[in-house]
Formats: sequence, C-alpha cells, structure tokens
Amino acid sequence: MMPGTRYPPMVIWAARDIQRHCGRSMLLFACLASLVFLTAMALLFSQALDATWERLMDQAPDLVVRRIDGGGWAPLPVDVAMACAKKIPGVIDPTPRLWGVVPGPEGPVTVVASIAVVPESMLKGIPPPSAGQAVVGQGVARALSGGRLSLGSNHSVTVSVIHTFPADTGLATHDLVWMTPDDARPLLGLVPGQASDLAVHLFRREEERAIQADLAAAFPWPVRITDRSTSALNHHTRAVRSGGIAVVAGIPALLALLLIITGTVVDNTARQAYWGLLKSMGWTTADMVRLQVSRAMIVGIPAVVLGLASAYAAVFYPPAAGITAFWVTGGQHLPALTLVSSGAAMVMIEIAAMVGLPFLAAVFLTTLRAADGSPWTLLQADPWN
Amino acid sequence: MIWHPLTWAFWVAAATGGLLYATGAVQAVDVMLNWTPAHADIDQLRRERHAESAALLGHWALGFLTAAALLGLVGVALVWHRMVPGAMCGTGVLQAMGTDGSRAMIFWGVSLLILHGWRVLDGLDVQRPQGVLTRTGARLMISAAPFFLLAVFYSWQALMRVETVPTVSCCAAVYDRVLSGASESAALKSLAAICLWFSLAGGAALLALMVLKIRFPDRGSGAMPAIIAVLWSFAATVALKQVGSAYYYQVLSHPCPWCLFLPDYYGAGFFIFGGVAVVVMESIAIWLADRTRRRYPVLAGPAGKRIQRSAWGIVTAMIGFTMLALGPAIAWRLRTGVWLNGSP
Amino acid sequence: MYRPFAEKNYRYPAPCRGARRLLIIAITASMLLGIATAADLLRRIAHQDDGASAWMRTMNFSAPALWTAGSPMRHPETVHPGVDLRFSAGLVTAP
Repeated sequence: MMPGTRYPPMVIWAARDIQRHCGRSMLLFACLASLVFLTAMALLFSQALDATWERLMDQAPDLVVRRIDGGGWAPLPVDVAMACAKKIPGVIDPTPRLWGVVPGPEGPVTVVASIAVVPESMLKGIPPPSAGQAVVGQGVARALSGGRLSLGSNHSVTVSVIHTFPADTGLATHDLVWMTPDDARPLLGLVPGQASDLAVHLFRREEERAIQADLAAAFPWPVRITDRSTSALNHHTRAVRSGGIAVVAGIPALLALLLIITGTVVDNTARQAYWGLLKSMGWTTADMVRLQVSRAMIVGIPAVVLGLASAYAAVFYPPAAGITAFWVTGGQHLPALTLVSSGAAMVMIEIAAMVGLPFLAAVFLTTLRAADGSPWTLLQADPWN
Repeated sequence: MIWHPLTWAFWVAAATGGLLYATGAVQAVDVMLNWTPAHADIDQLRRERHAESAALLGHWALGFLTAAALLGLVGVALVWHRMVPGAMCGTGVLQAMGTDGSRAMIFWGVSLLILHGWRVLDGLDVQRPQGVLTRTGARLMISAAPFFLLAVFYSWQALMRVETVPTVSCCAAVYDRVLSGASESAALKSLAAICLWFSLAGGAALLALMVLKIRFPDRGSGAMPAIIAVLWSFAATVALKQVGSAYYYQVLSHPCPWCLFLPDYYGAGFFIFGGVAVVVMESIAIWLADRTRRRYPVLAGPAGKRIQRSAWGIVTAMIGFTMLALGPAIAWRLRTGVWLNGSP
Repeated sequence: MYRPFAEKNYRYPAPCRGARRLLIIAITASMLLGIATAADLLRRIAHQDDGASAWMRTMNFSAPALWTAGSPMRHPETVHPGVDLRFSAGLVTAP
C-alpha cells in the first residue's frame, strides 16, 4: 500500500468523511492512543520485569542454605558445611558466600566478597580489588565523594573505589560493593573460616524440592533452605496480578472510550437522513457498514499502533524506563532498568485485542442500528422534513 | 489466572462476539418463522432487512468468536502454563482445568463449525436473488446457540478452576500413560500403527477425491469426502501424536500434542493442527454445497464453484500437513538410515 | 466496460487528493511504527543481559538487582520464616 497504489473508492470516501469531521476524529485518535498507551505501559512493564527476573534467575543457585538459631541468622562454619553438603548425592559445587547488606552513604548497599578467584574472561578490564579497595556498581558510584567509600555504622570501614561495574551489567551489580574477604568480614560480623551462607547447585534441577529434606538433615545445626522455583512462581503470579490490576485501573479509561463511542452513535443517528439518501441511491447496509468501519480503522489502527509503540519505548529505553518504573511502582525500583523484552509481543497483541475488538464492534453495531431502517423511514428523519 | 491479561482479552473477544451473535440470532428468529420469499408485502420487506443485518451480524460474530477461540488456544498452548505450578505446556493447563477444559474446547469447536457451515450457506444464498437458502441459513445460525452457551459456560468453569489448582505434573501424565501396563502399551502401539496407516491411506484417498472434485464438481457425492475427512482427522491426530511428534522432540514415548505448539518447536502445532482444521471445515463446505446443488438447481453454478474452491483448499492444507507432519520423519530416515524406533 | 479505478494513469479528482494524502500518511505511519517496534523487539531478544547474567553466576546471587538492597525481593534468602511480611506493607509491594 505504498503511495503509488490506487485505493478502493470506499476507503477514499471514508477518508473524506474523516476530513469532514476533523476535530472529532482527532479527539478519537487521541483518546484511543492514550488509552492504549496507559494500559499497555502498565502491562508491558510488569511483564518485562517478570521476564527479566526469570532470565536472570536462571543463573541463580538452586538452593541457598542458611544457618539459623534462636536469634535469627547465624554465621556458617565453611569447612563443616562444605563437608556436610558434599555428602548428599545430587549436590554439585556447594559454594560458601560472603555477603551482606550494609548501610552506605545513600541507603543500604550489598557488600560481596568472592572467596574463589574470578576468572579473567569475566573481568573484561575490571581490576579485582585488593586490600582496602573496592569495585562498586553504578548506583553506589553515583553517591561517591572523592573516590572513598565509607560503609557500616558501628565498625565502619573506608575503602577506595578503584573501578565501577559497566552499565550493561546493572541488573546484577547496581547496588554492589565488591571487596576482599578480609575487608568484608568485619563489616559482616564474621571471623575467618565463617561464611554468610552456602549456595548449592543441583545435578538435576527438578530435584529442588525433593532434596531439601535430605540436605537439611545432613547439617548438625538447624538450617533454613530457600529454593528458586517457589520464589519464581510467586513472583510471576504477583507480576501477572499487578498487571491485571493495572488493567482494571484502566476501567475509567475504558468508560471514556465508551463515551467516545456513544458520541459516534449520536453522530450516526443524526445522519440518518444521509444514510437514507445513500440507501435510496442503491447502497446496501453492508456498504454503509464497510464505509463506517473503514473510517474507524483509518483512525483506529494508527492510534493503536502509536499507543503500543510509545508504551514500548517508554518501558524498554533506559532513561524513559526509569521514569516509567518510578511512575508505575512509586519509586521502589532501581532507576537504571534495561528490561528483557521476551513476551512483549504477546502483551501487545492482548492490548490490541482488548481495545480494538470492542471498538470495532461498537462502530459496527451502531452503524447497523442507524442504517438498518427502510430508506423511506430514514429519509423522514431529515430535520428539514 | 483471572488476572492474566490474556484471559481478559479472551473474555472481551468472546463477550463482544457473543453480543453480536445474540443480536443476529434474535433477528434470524423472525426470518426463520415467517420467511415468504414469494410475497412483497411490508412484513416481508422488513424480514428481508432483518435477514440482511442478521447475515452481517453473523459474519462479524464468527470473526470475533474465531479471534476469541484463537486467543484461548494461544493461552492454553503458550501462556497460561506459566501460571500453573508444575505445568510446562498445554497438557498441564488442561490437566489443571479438569474435564471442563476439554469440554470447553469441544463446544467451541462445534459452535465454530456450525457457524462456518452457516457462512457457506450464506455465501451461496447471496449469489441468487430468490433467497432459497435464507430460511435454512437462519435455522443453522440459531442452532449454534446452545453449543455456544455451553462453550462459554465451560470456559468460565475451566478458567475459574485454574485459579485454585494444586501442583500438576504435566510430563508425568504423558509418561504415566506410556508406562502403565505392558499389555496396554502393546494395544496402544498397534492402535498407533493402525492410525498411521489409516491416515496415510485416508489422506491419499482424500487427495484423489479432491482432484476428481476439481475436475468434475457436479458429479459424485459430497457426503463421502466429509466422512473420510472427519475420520482422517481423528486418525491423523492420533498418528501425529504417537508417531510424528517424536521426530520433533527427538525422543520416543513423549506423545504430547501440546508441546508442538511451544516456540521450542517453532510453533509447528499451530500449522499442523490448523491444516487438520482446514481439511475438516472445507470438507463440510463441500458436503453442504453438494446438498445445495442437488436440492436447488438454481444454485448449481455457485455451488460448483464453491466445491472447487474448497477442494483446492483441502489439497493445499493436506500438502502442508503432510510436509510438516512427515517431513521431519523422512529427514531423519534419510540422515540416519533408520526410523526413530529402530526399525529399518 | 468503463472502469475508472483500473486505468493506469487515473488521477483522483481534486477534492479527493487530500483524502488520499491522509490515507498514505495513516498507512505509512502505522507501518513504520510497527516495523520499527518489531525490529527492535527482534534485536533485543538476542542476549542483552549477558553481562548481568554472567555476574549473577559468578557471584552466586539469589536474585537480580531489580529492587533496592535490603528489600526481601532483592535478597529472598534473608526472609526469616518467623517474620510475617504482611506487617511491613512497603516491603512486599512488588512491582
């Protein structure tokens, strides 16, 4: 349908009809586009957050074992815990983790220290920290003063920041402070030979639930085990639910759409004499329906596409995405979001169906009702009659 | 589940389609009861207007209901399994829905088939001004109502049931069926072989019949291709599930029809089962057109054209189905020299 | 038979040119927007979060940094079973 082609006369007629009612058509266009934009943005955001979460959670350890005692979480002796975990068949590469949440200059940060050596292929130019040094994420780097970072409230530790994690790893490293184990231990309240918890990978991921009881029984102290799939399912359900609530919140907007459609109805009934004239010249009801529907589509399709495309841009382009996240969630999320877009196409189809189908049906029904009389009765409705 | 946006889209499409259908069916009642094509009084003129708008409403309702059914199918096959703990494909979703899910699918299929039949009759009816088929068409359109109501009812039940479902085990259901009892699996194996051969023979017979129909649309029975096509569709589904799908999954004993819809297998299920649906629908169109041709000689010309068009449709769909269902198997045989189950 | 719209060099009558322009604008704009969105979608599906995934794996994180540090969504393993999050309403309202 490029500029060179000839269009069916009916479509040209419909376009002329639009020009004749320019203001009304612009209003319809704006209403449809903004309705689609608002609903699609909320849905796309929750869907994208969910997809991102799921993609990254694929890399997370299958199980995390933490020691508990009467007072809550307790540090884990590394050697004993490793020996116990290795006894269970199906467990591969249990890894002690040194990490914790520590008050930073602007709110809490996540302090990590890797006991093992990070491979060179991962680093890509990032120097691993040595004593008194730290590598920080983008969110922490923003609050730095003069390359020094002071952490903790009771036993505060000051480190010099030597490097920042690149922005494209922000989904994992945004709030991170990476330092040596010896620097981290006093901050986290650990002594050498202790770790925060134990991350466990399984040979068969499906055994996640089944292996928990065996694993818990293997340790000499009470432990609490969290698995990945429970939290993933909870998160998915929650994301879908919040998306649905966003759509429900769009009901006032849908009512507004209904109002626009009612406007179309009034327009149609006022033009009954016009329909009667066309009908007595040989148009069928089907022709009139075709005319009105092409008119609605010439306005509606660009409006829906524009709404969807702008919602897409608002969710998936980092600077806009931060604003969107702030708006949708009220500032709970980190500003530098680069979300994964798998499943976005499905959401767009859903929105197009949810808004487009009732709109088309309303146009169709009102036209049919207005044009369905006998030509004589329709002509009688002329105000000059 | 009730919060899932696709569920909302499904219900919106179904509700608007149902509204259009109800409006059309109400107008069709008048047509069905009092249609007198020979008269030209004011009542008959009103009925003709009713018939026209009922036909328009019916076409639109069919479009909307098809959209709703497709959205529901996409939901079962691709989307909703993520909401059901333990499910990985449509099998798990249907398991979570219980019998209501399969009932809903059957009733959706039947009501869409009836409306499709109405569409064929209406397409023939508008070719001649006498309107000989208007009454039959109105009757057929109204007769879809109970099936549609049941379809909506069972879809509602099924979707509500998924909301509070315990963990299902999707693949376990498939594997259990394969492993339960050696005698049963032997019977299943022979059933699969019978279905495979029947689907091949039926497909060949159908193709031959269609070539005949394209050459001589005015001869031969119309019921025969319809019966063969319906039987073939069952046999082909079973054969595909038991034999053909293995070449997609590259494992034996995973006879799951729903996994074929997943993006991992390029959504092949949509095309394969779509081909089966086209064959069934077009064979029913042939049957209806043939009936019309015999009863109303005035419509013989348009009916013949319709038969030819449907025959071409069936040929295309059969070729597509065969390529998608047997293609991977033949490619496997050519590459390795044996079939997947080891037989040369 | 005279078929005005099938002729090769048919020119629309003057009052219809604006309508034709409107149509062209509508069709071109929606196609461009649609194609741009689809192209971006296809481009993004390929691994835009590889860096983040790699660090997740190396550091053995239990959850991505989509939420601020210290919240239970960021560190799901820190949620003690004895602490009922219903009473800290701000903490669990995600996303």
